Amino acid sequence: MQNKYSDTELIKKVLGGEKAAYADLMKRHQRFVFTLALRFTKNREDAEEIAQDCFIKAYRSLNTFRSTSKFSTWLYSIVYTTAMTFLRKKRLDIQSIDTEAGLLNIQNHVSDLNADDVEHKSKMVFVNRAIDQLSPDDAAVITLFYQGEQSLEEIGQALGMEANTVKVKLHRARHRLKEKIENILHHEVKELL
Amino acid sequence: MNLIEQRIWDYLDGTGTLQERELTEGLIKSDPVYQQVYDECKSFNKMVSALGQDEPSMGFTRNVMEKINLEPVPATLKSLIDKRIIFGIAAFFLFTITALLGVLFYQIDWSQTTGFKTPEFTMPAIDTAKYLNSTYINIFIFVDIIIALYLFDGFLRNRLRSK
Repeated sequence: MQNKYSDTELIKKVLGGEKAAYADLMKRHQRFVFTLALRFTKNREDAEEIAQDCFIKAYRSLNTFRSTSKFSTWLYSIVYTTAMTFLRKKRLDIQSIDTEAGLLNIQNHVSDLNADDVEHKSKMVFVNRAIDQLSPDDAAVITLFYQGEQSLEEIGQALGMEANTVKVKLHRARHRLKEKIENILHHEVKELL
Repeated sequence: MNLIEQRIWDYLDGTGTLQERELTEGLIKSDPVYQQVYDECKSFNKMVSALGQDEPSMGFTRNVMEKINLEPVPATLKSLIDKRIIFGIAAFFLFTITALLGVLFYQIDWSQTTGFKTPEFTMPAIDTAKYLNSTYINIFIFVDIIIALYLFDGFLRNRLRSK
């Protein structure tokens, strides 16, 4: 159910001592925060840890949030810095990801679907797999732009970059993603033959 | 990335000037190469936009809220800044400036009539040795150490809590 309060109203309630309002705010953003974290970690457990960390950090600094930007943009900047710190700590080798494991992690549960649904789901699995093969920065830009519906300026705010830099990064990320999708599909066709 | 693709992306994203967008629009309609790249980019956009969002585990909200409930309510910046402190600082500066001006005007020789003469101003001599003896310095250092330890303790607590 969609909450009738805006993000700003919910934040005011939280700052006024109504902690339960934070649960509503979290429910609204948790799916995307988790998806974004998953793009960095490629692992559900780690992504969940990062997402939890982000919401706690956001709560602690909620008083510093200025309504000049969207709450989501502010929150995504926390996700970005937390995920980057996490990656640095874990020293993940981002280039050698087990794509099969990633595929198992990201695909949704498919059951009782018709042929069109299955085709759509498979396409999504390929795209997800391709995004997983991108660098965390590229994956984050793609995810923020397409799934987070953030403008170039907002992505710039979240990642601490100029909008023009984001524009160039987005173009490059798209190009790389296209190549990855083509490679995966080419590989799949080869395997089928 | 070639120029055509870049132009098409700028057109689809709505970036660039109006003139550039109109130019690209015209090229898409007239040039089959532009048309092909446009179709490719559009289907790419459609495919990536259709990606769903992943769902965290069922207990996610509950787990976070359990931790949130242990946290104090974040104080708003307004309540953090006590107005009395601001008024105190303002009063201090006002008093200092007024005192300085008072001493200055008191020392001016108003009987001078011939032209402009810079007033002679001499600051009252302050016997620093009277105030800066070893006892006061020791008290000052002691208070500083107490404040430093208090802040360090707060810092360590925050670090421990964030782990």
